[in-house]
Amino acid sequence: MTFDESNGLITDHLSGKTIDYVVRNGKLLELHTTCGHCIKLQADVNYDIHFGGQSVKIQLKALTLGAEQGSF
Amino acid sequence: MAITTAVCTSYKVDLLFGRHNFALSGGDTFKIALYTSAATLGATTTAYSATNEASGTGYTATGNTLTRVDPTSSGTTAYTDFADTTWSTATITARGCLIYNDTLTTPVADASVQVHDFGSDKTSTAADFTIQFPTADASNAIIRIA
Repeated sequence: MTFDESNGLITDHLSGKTIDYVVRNGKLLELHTTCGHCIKLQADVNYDIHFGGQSVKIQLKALTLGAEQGSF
Repeated sequence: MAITTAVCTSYKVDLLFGRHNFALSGGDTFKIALYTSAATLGATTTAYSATNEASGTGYTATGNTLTRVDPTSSGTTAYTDFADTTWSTATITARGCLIYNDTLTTPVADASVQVHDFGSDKTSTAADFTIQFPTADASNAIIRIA
């Protein structure tokens, strides 16, 4: 991956998101957003920053069959 | 085209026919499939379809098999749960998901259970894409009959 590609990915993944908190996880710096994404950055021995991937965790909402749905 | 969070109506009918078995041991196979924002899913969805299903590195069509938890109750509410599921080292963009019964073959194959809208596109890039189910209790479990 070139610097341009890496910077492009970091820009794309951070755009429009709000950082909730930042965690250092070993060699990775994790930027956790309020929308459940985690953008991972990593510095090399030359202090250059690299894109280390983006994970996402989605919390599903409970759904009930009951009075509110009028089915049971 | 939209994805609307809902308990599928056909699932309610299937329950009354006794077609779903959520037991940990010997129960049906339930799966979760991811969909792009181009999909149309909601209460009227009756079965899994590959149309507008998400794709990408680390994702296989039809989705992940869910690990069941024995149904139980608390107070007057019965509920069951699934273990969290992850597509590892995946590059996926999805707007919603469908939980469906992969065991059922009649009256339709792969009968739908629930549709969930993620609220916005969610993307993983060369990393984990995780679906986290809510706490398994009477107030929060993913599948409840109150």
